[in-house]
Amino acid sequence: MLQVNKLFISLVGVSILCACGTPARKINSGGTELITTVGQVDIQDFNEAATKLVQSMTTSGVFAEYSNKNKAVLGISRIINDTTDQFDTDLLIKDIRVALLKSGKVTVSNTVGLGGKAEDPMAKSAKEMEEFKNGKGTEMPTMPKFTLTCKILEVRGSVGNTKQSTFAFQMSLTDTATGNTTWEESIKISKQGSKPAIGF
Amino acid sequence: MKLIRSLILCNIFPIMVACNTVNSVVPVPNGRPGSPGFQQVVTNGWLNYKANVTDVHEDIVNGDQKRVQVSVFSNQSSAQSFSYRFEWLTPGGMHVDSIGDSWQTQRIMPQETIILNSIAPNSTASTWRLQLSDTNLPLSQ
Repeated sequence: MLQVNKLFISLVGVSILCACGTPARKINSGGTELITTVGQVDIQDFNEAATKLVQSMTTSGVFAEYSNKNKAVLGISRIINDTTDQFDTDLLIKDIRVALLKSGKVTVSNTVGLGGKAEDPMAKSAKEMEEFKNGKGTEMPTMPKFTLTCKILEVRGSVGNTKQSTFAFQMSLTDTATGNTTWEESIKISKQGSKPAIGF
Repeated sequence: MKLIRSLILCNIFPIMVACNTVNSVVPVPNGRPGSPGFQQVVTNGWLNYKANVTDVHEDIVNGDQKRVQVSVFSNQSSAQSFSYRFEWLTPGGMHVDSIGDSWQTQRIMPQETIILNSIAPNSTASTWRLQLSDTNLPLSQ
């Protein structure tokens, strides 16, 4: 019995020693081996928020009347990161744009942006040149049919060593013809723990 | 007898942390619109106890995109976690990239039934496959 216990304990010890220190390796960015932290928005959180926001937008039917031949033009308006985590909001917005584009019903304007700032200045210049050549240089530019705004908020709490963070992704779609909200959603992602972990 | 017992004891630990295979669910046509049958491929019995698919519903949203809702039940006596993802395919079986391809985590309470949703990325993706993976192995709960 003593020999069995010694053997078992030494095997457990070897397993623990082997687990200390992980060599660098590639992992799947959309997989289950990602690090989960409490104090910041992780890449899997952006993905979850983008997925749920796109699903909500699609389910609402706001783009139902559009098709491959008649796409809704979307402009990206004010996107605010109001959290203590300094991240680029494109980590959320680009995923949403890609998903909407792949639906075949929506296209995003790269030449009309917030405050007149185009996402693609070269495309904007080329478009203006084309319009000038076609004698449309003095016409009003075509504005997007919809605009997208978003605010990301954070609520923190702690009890003893356990910390909790909730990140709220609040997004709105506005019909530029009326100025009214045509779709809205708020997705909350909460995380709790005393230290980061690998995996969900 | 002692040797057999020691072999069993030494192998229980690695076996319990290594058995994290993926369970899959695919729809099976049954002639009932909106409520297709489904087939579960269970390779991880432990996972199936806490993430067992009980019902599947489909409809069309946004004019031409398929939506699926899958009911998942846990028969466990404590809160559990699992990961899932939906993969969308064309009628010819070609995979269509979608935002839902990444694994999502889900928390499920004891004896709870939850709904997992997914919407096809476009109108060409007409069939789907749900994959479930464990995130709470027996020794790590």
